[in-house]
Amino acid sequence: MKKRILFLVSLFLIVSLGAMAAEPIVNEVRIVNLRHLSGLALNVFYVSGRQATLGVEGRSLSVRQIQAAPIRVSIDSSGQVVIPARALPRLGFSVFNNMVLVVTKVDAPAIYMQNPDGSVPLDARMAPAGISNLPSHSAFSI
Amino acid sequence: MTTKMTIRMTMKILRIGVMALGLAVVTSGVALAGVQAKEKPACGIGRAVGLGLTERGQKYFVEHFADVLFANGISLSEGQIDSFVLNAEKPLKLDQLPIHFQKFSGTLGKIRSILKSWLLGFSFNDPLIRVEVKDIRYSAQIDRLGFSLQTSPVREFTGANSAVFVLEAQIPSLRLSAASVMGKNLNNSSLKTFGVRGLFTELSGESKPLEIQIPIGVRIKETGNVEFNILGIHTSLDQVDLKMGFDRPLVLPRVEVLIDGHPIALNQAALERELLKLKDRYLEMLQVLLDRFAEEQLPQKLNNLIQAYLPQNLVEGNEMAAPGAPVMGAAFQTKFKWWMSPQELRQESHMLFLGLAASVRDPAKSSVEALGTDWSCAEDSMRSMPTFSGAHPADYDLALSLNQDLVNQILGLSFARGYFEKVPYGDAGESLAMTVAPELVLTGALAKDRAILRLQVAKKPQGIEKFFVENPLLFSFDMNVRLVVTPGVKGASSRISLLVDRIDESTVKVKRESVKLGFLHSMIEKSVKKKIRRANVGYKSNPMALAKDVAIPSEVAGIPLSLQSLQSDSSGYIVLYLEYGGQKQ
Repeated sequence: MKKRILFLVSLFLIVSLGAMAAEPIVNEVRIVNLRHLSGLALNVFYVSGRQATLGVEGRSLSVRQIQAAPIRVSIDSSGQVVIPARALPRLGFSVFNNMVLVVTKVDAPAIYMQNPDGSVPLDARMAPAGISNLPSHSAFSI
Repeated sequence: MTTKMTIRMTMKILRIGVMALGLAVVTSGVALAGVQAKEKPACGIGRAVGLGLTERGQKYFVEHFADVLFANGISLSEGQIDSFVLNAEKPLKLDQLPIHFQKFSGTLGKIRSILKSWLLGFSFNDPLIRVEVKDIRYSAQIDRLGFSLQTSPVREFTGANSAVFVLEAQIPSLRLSAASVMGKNLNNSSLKTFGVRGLFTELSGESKPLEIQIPIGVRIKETGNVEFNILGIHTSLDQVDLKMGFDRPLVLPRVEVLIDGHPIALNQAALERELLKLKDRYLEMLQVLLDRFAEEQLPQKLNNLIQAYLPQNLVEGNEMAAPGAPVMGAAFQTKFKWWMSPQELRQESHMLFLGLAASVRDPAKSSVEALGTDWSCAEDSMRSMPTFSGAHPADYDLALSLNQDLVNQILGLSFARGYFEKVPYGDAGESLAMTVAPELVLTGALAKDRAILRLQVAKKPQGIEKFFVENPLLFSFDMNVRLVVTPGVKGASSRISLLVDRIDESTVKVKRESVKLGFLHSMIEKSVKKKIRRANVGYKSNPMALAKDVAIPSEVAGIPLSLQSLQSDSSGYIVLYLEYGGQKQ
């Protein structure tokens, strides 16, 4: 079960939107110069998060919601990894604004997240199939 | 065992973190004994962090509020809601319609007649409608999304810690769709469900843009307890041109006639045709319905939602690199944890000021229970407001004040880890060991870029000193330091260095217990002062950095900032005068 997390990087990406009302599509991302991580895997999280009120050195992104189940892609022997384009479902008013990359072994167990304040982001994997676990954001009754 | 419990037990939690980059404070030497953190939650420091938005700074939010929302993971240009249920509170009576719907009484009467004739004389009770809308999506092109302070007072929000903000949007293109809109007449349950699928409505190409204005009252009742109150929603829905569409066939009551025991369904297409003759009127009704709903009911409904979902205490927790952590290993050191909570909101003549209480703890030294913050004491012995006199409000967007008590709390935590232990002494490479955490003092008549570091130090006696003083010799003094800004290059944040200016000889005090023969205390103190005079000459000829390249906050709420100037504020704050837009290259 022990996982070797080598590093965590947050990338700010530009979301390319198709026609209005279409689901946001994240373009293919190609990362090179990871030769030192060859043979390992990159776990890609598409998240909606907020920056700390005070942008001090060492602060972390607070992830509110993981927009879609993460994908795992292998880093090839040349140190290159290709993250395929992906359409993200629209969930409430949360918008994908950060990509979090976690390096693990290829066969490492699934990864879950916890924010620095102890909170756990809304995560589609933690709801029974077909049922949204986001009631407070995406459904209400008046 | 529930699914959730199983997940909790089996999941591997990964702490989210961003690689700590850059340096914090450069110091040298060997660690002294650490100071154990007290095992109780830290007392929140009142007015620990202040955000002063000038008029110039407030204008940014009028133009760039969408960017601020995006940086915080929210977009108002598209949205999705799984479901929405509207329960009418009382039956709809055609002769007692609200004033805005009276013009539709004829249309509603016609619908009733159509249904009556198709349902073979079925008698209707006054309908009590329940509508369920599923998978609502909207997409909008928002030309202007602004957030500004309302200057005209609102009675309920004129007191202390209160303000009214106005969210304004101009929307030239809007499409609203729902997978289904299904109604039930609770007073005529035999009608079952009726409605439409694939409903959409949008602004027509020739329409004026839709304007929306939402005043929101904000009041901080006590630290962390914030009230948000939507005071109204004003739209120009009654002045725009909408078009609508939906899938055919409609979902209508199914009518069957039994002839000799054989059920024969009536032609629903004909019923649908009859109903669709009134399609234009439906659009008008929808427009008025949305407008009235937004103006009359939605504010209260949204306020109820805010009440239900807003946490009782607004507290933000995050991390920071420990100042003084070893340069090479900084990224791998346990970070400090900080908590902040809104405490006050003031409308000053030249700025809007948000005061935040805060505390910082070291997870490496504190128990989990002690990592929290006691906010109840945040107002005890609170410093007076920063003067913000270091720059003209027209020359910056945002002033960020950092309370010296907060800075000292952080310095204390770093000291406890052994990061600050030596202070350069003179120009011969000699140093003094600190015995307690350094204390930053900003109060008093200091120049704009000066501060005082109150230090207690230990020195190993040399030569003949050994006969008269204990080892180590303990003494204290105030060190005058200069705050020097190093502008960031290539997008990096600006940094501050603390350069030693001089030691204030008049503040030197040798600890009596350090002197072996009490009557020699005065003489020993004079001797120490003499050495300090020499050291001061060294500081002048060879300016030394007590702390180098301390990174300053590079963002507030995701908005990149660049430092214009700083001030040592006599009320006890370091004030950073900032401009939006990150570092200039």
